[in-house]
Amino acid sequence: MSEIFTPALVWIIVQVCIGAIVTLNLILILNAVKNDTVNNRLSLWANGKYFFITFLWGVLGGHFFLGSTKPLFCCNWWLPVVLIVVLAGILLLLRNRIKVKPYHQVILIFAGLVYGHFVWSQRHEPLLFKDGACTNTNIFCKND
Amino acid sequence: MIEIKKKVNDKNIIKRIEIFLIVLFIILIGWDLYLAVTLPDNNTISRVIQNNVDSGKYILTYFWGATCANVFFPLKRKPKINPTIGTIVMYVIALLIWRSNPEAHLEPIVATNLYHYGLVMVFGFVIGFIFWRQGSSE
Repeated sequence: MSEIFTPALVWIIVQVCIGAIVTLNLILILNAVKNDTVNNRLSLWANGKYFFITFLWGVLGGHFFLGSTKPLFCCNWWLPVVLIVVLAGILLLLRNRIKVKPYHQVILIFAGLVYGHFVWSQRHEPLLFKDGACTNTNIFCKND
Repeated sequence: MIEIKKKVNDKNIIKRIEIFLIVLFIILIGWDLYLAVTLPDNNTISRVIQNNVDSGKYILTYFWGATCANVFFPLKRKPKINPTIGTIVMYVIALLIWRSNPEAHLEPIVATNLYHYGLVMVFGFVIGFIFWRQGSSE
């Protein structure tokens, strides 16, 4: 079943999803209801209690577009993903304690970018998985 | 009476949009996890997006920056630039990035591709910050 999802098909599905959101947004801009667009709802969430969205946006930016080559967690590729869930959970727990301000958003975006670039980088993998195998099982990679 | 009914309908529409967004993101995350743990390799959403950026689709990094400014840095007052004009400017610049070859223009300035992506992300953010801001609504 999973074999049908070639990178070309995944890219088409991603484009369809982006197209659907953009089209929906256009319809919502033109209708009579105010404050119902996708970016408006996301903005209200991120600037209210759910500021973990800002952090995740930064993480995705670093993960999709940037990415360091030196791995931090060696073969434990799953560890950065688990850590994101933990960090997002902590930010969610803090939702009633912090009244988010623009400088918080700057910090969250930068922290996310740093995380996506250094910790959850996709450019680590060719170094780690040579011929599909990864042998360094240390939690933290060493220079040797 | 009509006013009250309209407000209830508005709230229902907004609730449905919120549910649609949450369900869509949950489905995408679940599907991406499935793609990550099954064969073939290198077909996750993030890998596919990264490959497209690496092959020159800098428009994706531009939109990341512009969306960042729009969603996370709303204005407390009404935007000084007309939102329709601002949106058109933002999309026209996106169109220019899509049609031109930004990689060739950036190559003489900085050689590393990673810096190109960073520069276009920042450029997108600046354009979004100037032209594509939304006023605080609630």
